[in-house]
Amino acid sequence: MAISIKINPKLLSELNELVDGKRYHSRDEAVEEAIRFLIAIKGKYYTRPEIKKVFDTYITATSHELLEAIKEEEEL
Amino acid sequence: MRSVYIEASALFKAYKEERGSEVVDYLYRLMESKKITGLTSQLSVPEILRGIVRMKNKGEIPDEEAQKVIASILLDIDKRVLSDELRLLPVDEGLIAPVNRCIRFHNFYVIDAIQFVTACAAKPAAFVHADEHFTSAVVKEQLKSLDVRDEASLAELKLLLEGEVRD
Repeated sequence: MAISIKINPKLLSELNELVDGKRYHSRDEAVEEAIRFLIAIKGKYYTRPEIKKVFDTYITATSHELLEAIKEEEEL
Repeated sequence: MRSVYIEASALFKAYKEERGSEVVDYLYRLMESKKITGLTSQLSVPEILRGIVRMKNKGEIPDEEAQKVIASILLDIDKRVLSDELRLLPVDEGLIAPVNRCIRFHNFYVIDAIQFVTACAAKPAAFVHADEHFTSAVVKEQLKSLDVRDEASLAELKLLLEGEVRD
């Protein structure tokens, strides 16, 4: 099965910049990361202020409480 | 260039607005303007992701939203790493013995011991955190540690970092 994606040159350049600067153990790993970047970019990923708004909307616990809970999980 | 180690508890505040976020935002601005390099353990990001997934498992945040936030955080961090604003430090084999000592003699959690020992090896100008586990004497002896939740921490960082940048 073959997949083709139409992508504008500016986006392609941004994608290559992200992937080219990193080292991967396999081609599959590089492709997986490129797809993740593509989804994030095409999906209009959140900026930092937008991420903060999402957390404000859904998460009442503080980051400290979240991380402490993970450490307690580790202890169990 | 000066470096600042941003422990996971402080790094999380770059993405979640709460007490101490303004200090991490300040550090991010210095990183973006190449005045400092941010450092953190490679394990800081999984710690944050686990916190988000835990909330998703409890039904506090919908799966789709959680995944989009995670993808957005990963992309933001990847971009900062590629522009050399932020370095993700690996858990080097040579650090395991001191990690073991921190757990054995100072009662650290595993992840806290890894963060502390990784920071010590990197010799940053400051170690910023938001976790009372890092207020112990052993941390203060080794690192210039600052709790970003403390009101004085921003002024102290400005003096430490911008004073030296202007020299």
